[in-house]
Amino acid sequence: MAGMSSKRLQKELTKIQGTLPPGITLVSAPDLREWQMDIAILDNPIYPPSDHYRLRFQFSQSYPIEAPEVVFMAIPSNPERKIPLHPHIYSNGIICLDLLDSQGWSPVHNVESICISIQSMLAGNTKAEREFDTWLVWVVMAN
Amino acid sequence: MDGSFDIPDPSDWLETPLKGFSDLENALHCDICKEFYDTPMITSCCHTFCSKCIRTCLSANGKCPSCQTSDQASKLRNNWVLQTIVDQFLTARPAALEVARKEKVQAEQAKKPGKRKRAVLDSDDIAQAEQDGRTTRSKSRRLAASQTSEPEAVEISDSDGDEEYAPEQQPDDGLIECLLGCGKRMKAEEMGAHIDRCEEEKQQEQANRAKSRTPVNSFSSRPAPAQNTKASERISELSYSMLTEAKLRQKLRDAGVPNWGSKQLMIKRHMEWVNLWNANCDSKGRRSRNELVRDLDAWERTQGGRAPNQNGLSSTIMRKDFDGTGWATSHGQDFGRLIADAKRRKNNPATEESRPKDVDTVEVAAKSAPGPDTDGSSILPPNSSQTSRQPEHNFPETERPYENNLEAIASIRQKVEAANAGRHIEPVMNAGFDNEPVNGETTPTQAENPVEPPRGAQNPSLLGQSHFGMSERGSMSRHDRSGSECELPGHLQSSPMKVPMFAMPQRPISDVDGGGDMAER
Repeated sequence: MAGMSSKRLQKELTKIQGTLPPGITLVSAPDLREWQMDIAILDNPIYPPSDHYRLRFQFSQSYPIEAPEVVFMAIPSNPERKIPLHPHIYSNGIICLDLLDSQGWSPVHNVESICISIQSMLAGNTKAEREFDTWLVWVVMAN
Repeated sequence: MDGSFDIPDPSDWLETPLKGFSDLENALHCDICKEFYDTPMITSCCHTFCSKCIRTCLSANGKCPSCQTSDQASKLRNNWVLQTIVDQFLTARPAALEVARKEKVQAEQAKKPGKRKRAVLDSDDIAQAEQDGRTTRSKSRRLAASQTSEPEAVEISDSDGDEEYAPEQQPDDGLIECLLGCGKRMKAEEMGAHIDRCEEEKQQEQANRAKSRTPVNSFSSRPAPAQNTKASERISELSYSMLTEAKLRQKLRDAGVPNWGSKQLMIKRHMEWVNLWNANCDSKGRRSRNELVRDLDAWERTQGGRAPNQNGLSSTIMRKDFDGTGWATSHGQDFGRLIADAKRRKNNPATEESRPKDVDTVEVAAKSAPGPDTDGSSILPPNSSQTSRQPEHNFPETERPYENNLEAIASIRQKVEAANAGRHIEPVMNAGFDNEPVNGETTPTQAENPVEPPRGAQNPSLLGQSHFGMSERGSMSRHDRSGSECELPGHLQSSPMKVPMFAMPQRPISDVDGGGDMAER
């Protein structure tokens, strides 16, 4: 059972390489520890459908018992990827979503369902703003 | 996904006319591991998962992964029906897939001249499946053998209706296996009578086994000796917080499990062992203790104490963009010094009280130069006012206030030597001020560490004090000294302002810098 994380990720990868919901694409999955996905928000004027946002997933050996780390990545060019404006997404890409927290996480979630959750979190957003660097508070508190 | 290599996947069906089987197969997968259910257990909220999966989850956070209801591992119950369904599906799968693929090829060859192939399995298909099943026996045997992760696939009970899919997997003795899964085989007419006493017999056998430890020959479909060396009692999780490290170590030794490592690691290992053990107790085809130990060893290598990156395990927030290794290297010295100080303090608690005085004098000597500290020196008043009053007060200063100040260090050395020699000298700027007895007391500590300038910052006793604020500090200086603290100038009395800054000094700040860089990137 020790290889549970690898086995499960391998299965997820196979599935993802097959079909994915609209707006979600797999960018790279060089190994079973870090994957990158692109998501587009289809029905919210704040995020034009042509804009894609890059998500980085990092999996620990305890996945899926433990949540993966999911953050938005900023890439300056080729292709350009910004960090979406959202009150719960910090400027460094960290996403404040209960699903990704150890309390809200459940092993029945998978990469696809996380992508869908983040997609819908953005799609339902009405405020194109950041809670300015709230994450600083987090970092300070974490220390 | 080519069928010849064996990892069964629901997508196998998508290329065939039997697309619906993809969903069927998905439904037979555990939501946690995404494999076919292995010893499915039903929770008290009526969700079903593999035994090992749900046990691991429950020991991690005590909640059902599907609905987040609290549950306990002891309330899990076997879902035998589902186990049978999965086993049967796995047995039938290779042949069915074979048929479905052949169907597809035929459909392509026929180039759809009016006759579309049915996507539903009807009696003709079954008949065909029967033939195919027989013609491709070697292949399906190969497939079955390669499914190492589902060893149950080959040892299942069966009824006549399914024989055509995997005829070669049942011993051809005209007997049927017990429907309750005890593993016995018997004639169909004996089954009714057997079912009535099956449970009883099983329990009796287990008792026998536990007593004699000799193989019982009733498990005809399995290799006998390994299974029977195992007691079948489930073990319960310990209340780890109630156990001391030594006791836990003893428990692990009693269980025959490696007992090295920190308490945290031992707790994790014991949980894993309990889960492995109990999951094995749940399952029909029990494995030997040695296999479980091997599983535990695999766990050790991937997630336990021998895991490649242990810090990658569960440090959730810090890991985001935080360069832990860099931080550790750049502050390694500081940590080392703090540890050393803490140890010294533990060994020599008597010096705790006297230390502050010592710091005072050292500090005064150092005050002439600003030093690299950021907050302390900016708050402090100019030298002129300090020289007269300074020794009145404990100044837990920031780290290494005079690190680059050769003059100050020289002066400290001088003092230390003097202390070692048993003399007492007054600090230059502190000349005439009376604190002899104190310096006398500190001598042993100083002797241990002849050259060590930044006392204030490293001294854990000071660190401790710094959290208590003015009253505590006041009382301390009161019984230390001659009650002159009320004469302190206002700017010195306000020093608790600095205390929190000192207590966790630059960490948040430098951390913020690091994070900021990341953000700009």
